[in-house]
Amino acid sequence: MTAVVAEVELRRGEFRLDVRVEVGAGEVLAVLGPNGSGKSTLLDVLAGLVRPDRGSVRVGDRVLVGRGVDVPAHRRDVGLLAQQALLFPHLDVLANVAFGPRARGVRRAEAERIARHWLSEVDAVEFAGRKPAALSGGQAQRIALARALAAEPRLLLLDEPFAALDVDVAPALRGLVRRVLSSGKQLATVLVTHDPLDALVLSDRVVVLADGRIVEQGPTKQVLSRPRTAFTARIAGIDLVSGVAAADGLAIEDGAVIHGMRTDDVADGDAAVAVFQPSAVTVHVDQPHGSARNVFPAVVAALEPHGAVVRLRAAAAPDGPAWVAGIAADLTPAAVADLELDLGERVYLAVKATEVAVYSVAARP
Amino acid sequence: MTKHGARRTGLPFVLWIPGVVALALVVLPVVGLIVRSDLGNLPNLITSPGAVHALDLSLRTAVVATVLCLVLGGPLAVLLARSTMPGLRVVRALVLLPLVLPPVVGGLALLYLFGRAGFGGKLLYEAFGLRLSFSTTAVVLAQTFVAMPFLVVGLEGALRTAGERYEAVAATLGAGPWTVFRRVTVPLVLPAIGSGLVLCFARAMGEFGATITFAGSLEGVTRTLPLEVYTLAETDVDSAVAVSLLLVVVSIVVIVVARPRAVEGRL
Repeated sequence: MTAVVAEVELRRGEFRLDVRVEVGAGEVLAVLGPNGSGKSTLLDVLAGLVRPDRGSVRVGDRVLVGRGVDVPAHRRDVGLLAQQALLFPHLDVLANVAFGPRARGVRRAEAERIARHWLSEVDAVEFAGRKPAALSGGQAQRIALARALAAEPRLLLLDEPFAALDVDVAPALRGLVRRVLSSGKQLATVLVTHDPLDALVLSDRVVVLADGRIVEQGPTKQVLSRPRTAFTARIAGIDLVSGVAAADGLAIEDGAVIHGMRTDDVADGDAAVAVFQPSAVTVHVDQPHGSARNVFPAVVAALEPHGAVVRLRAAAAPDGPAWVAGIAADLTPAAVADLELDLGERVYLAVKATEVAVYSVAARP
Repeated sequence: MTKHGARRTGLPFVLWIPGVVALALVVLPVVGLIVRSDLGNLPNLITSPGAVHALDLSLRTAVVATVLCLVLGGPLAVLLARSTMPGLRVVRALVLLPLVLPPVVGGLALLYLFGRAGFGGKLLYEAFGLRLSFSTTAVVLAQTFVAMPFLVVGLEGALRTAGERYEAVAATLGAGPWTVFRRVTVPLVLPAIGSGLVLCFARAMGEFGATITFAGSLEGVTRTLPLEVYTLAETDVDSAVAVSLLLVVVSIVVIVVARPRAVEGRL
């Protein structure tokens, strides 16, 4: 059953948001996109903090936004967990979690019983008597989740809930959110993030947002492992080159061919993409002569830490193909040091054909 | 906490000279007052009927004025900080007026609004038979007029710093505007309210110019401590100094006991 349907049109100066999203009961929808793509604005519209210029929001059979209707935030039953926990600093943890029930008019004792239940759901009962200032970021975020759920929302909004946490705390909390969300059968959830890992762990479906528009959507694993646009590929941390399916791979505009493994559904001449992992790309200072079928010159545009590895971003070399720009290659820090790589240096990127998947992105009826 | 020894970068020496001069300018006059005073006779001088009446009147009017500042200025600060009404910047500037206006001018303005000939005064007299000017009520009005900006400005700043994020979260938890105001907004700015009230009270206690113009100087009715000092300074300097010391003590009590945040540099 579809629990939430939202059609939102909104203009703020140059920026325009125009999207339609649906979320089923018990489903988690991830909204992926870079900063400024409109994902947080979409959440604010759903929460009732921003009014859209046009559109409608329906949760279950209740119309929250529509013709002549604009239900204020506090009557929406829409919960929000933001990047910052925003626990009320003057209330202790128990009173924070009991805030929602109390605001609904539940008596203090009953509200505290509900609060204790949700604190135990997030493994945080022992913090009940503490003030928020005495909590770590991860603890505070767990309690903020309990507080949002204690208000019994029909729709839960998660706005980059792990982005402000230490890298060693985020995975545990991500797992906890997954466990808690999967036990709420009726709750619809919208998760806004720029981290594909959040989407992979938590969400059933994903929509990819760019400049206020949906550029891609579908089941999370499918969208992130087989992106159809370079934009989604970049978010998913995958390399993608588009072109036309050819006999032994993908033909690109300049006539070059990327050799790869064609999936069954591709026919010659179809609009297609070649996709490979940055970890499958090897970097050479001199032109390599080996088994790798795909070798192309490039220039080092950026070197940035990416977890335990260093991610190299390529730019087009003066005499090389233009589509190389933006291709990522993952290297160990030791390899970067051995090769003495520097920005602007000319390199050769190599990918084995067996690591390249070529699939169709042609629109089919 | 960084206490002694935490500072490693030196301070430029030249700052010391104007700094010490500034401190001397604040402290030395008070010392002069103490030196000039007749300490042995002090108890008698400050328990004279005139001084006691003035102290009693000052405390009562300053407390009422402080309460008025809170009841009227508090909501104004919330509106200024949260409303999206157009023209708010103009209103914000207007609120500062009593802060920069010479109090005497403020007193004159009040007089021509609420005095016998003023349209406000006429209205009140015809409707309720009330005469405000030269009454204790006028003292309270004058004090409220000059003290209000201290609360409004401090509280508005605190509300803006606290931001609306907590309030937004409270709303998503199902709390209506009144509940949010009562259970989130007010508790968050409670320290700012406290320091604002202390500043209001101190300003009301020290009010002189607007009071003497609008309320006059009638013993027991409108002659507050500063007016008592002014009256005595022409006839009985020893008493004037003694009552002045009384005001110094009241001010120090306000600073030490209530310790407004402004004093700690965190307004």
